Amino acid sequence: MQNKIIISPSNKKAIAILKDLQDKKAKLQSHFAKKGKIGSLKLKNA
Amino acid sequence: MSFYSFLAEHDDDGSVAYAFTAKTGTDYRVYFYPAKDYSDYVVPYRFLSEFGFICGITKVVPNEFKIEPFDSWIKETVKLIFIDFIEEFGDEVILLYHCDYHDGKQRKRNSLFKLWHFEITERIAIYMEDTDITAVDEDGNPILTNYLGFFILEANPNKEAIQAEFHSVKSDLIREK
Repeated sequence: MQNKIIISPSNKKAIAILKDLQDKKAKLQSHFAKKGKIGSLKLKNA
Repeated sequence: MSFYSFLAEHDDDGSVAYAFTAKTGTDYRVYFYPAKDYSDYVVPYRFLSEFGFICGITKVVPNEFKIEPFDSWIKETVKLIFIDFIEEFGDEVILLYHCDYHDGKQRKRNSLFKLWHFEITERIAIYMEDTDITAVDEDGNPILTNYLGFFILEANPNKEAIQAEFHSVKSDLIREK
């Protein structure tokens, strides 16, 4: 059985966390998709 | 078993990026980024913070969105990279992954992680857990789904504590305050 979580629309905290994780993931993907030497990445408080 | 040659680059930010080139000429990166620097949300969790890395795979510019033909060498290469990383960082390392909803293929990517887990387990004993997280509207209809999961060695000395932390992450998420 798949573990799952259902987030109610009233749970603004969880929705904000998911949005933050989504944004960070997009930044990570974009950073590591760069051509050549990629350098450092600071994500927290970005 | 056929696979591509690959290289690993360690950066000052603590991340490790492995690179390889497929026979189509497309460059790939498999990356591992310290979880504690990924989000403040991870920091309260001792083991996830200390030993966790967010892992992911991307194609490199200008082919980051190119659709590639099926290539079993890529899968074998990624598996070897995961094994190499775990062997380098030791028994306590935690590999976290997040399949997000940006392109609607999160379920497919989560299934891929599960398949890799199944196949890697033929080489080394790895424990995996994953959860799908679905936000719904006022009528209960799903709006978006993410998948979060982790891999650790079966022999990880902190296995039970890590499972407890992952459970706490989920419990904290459903708490409204």
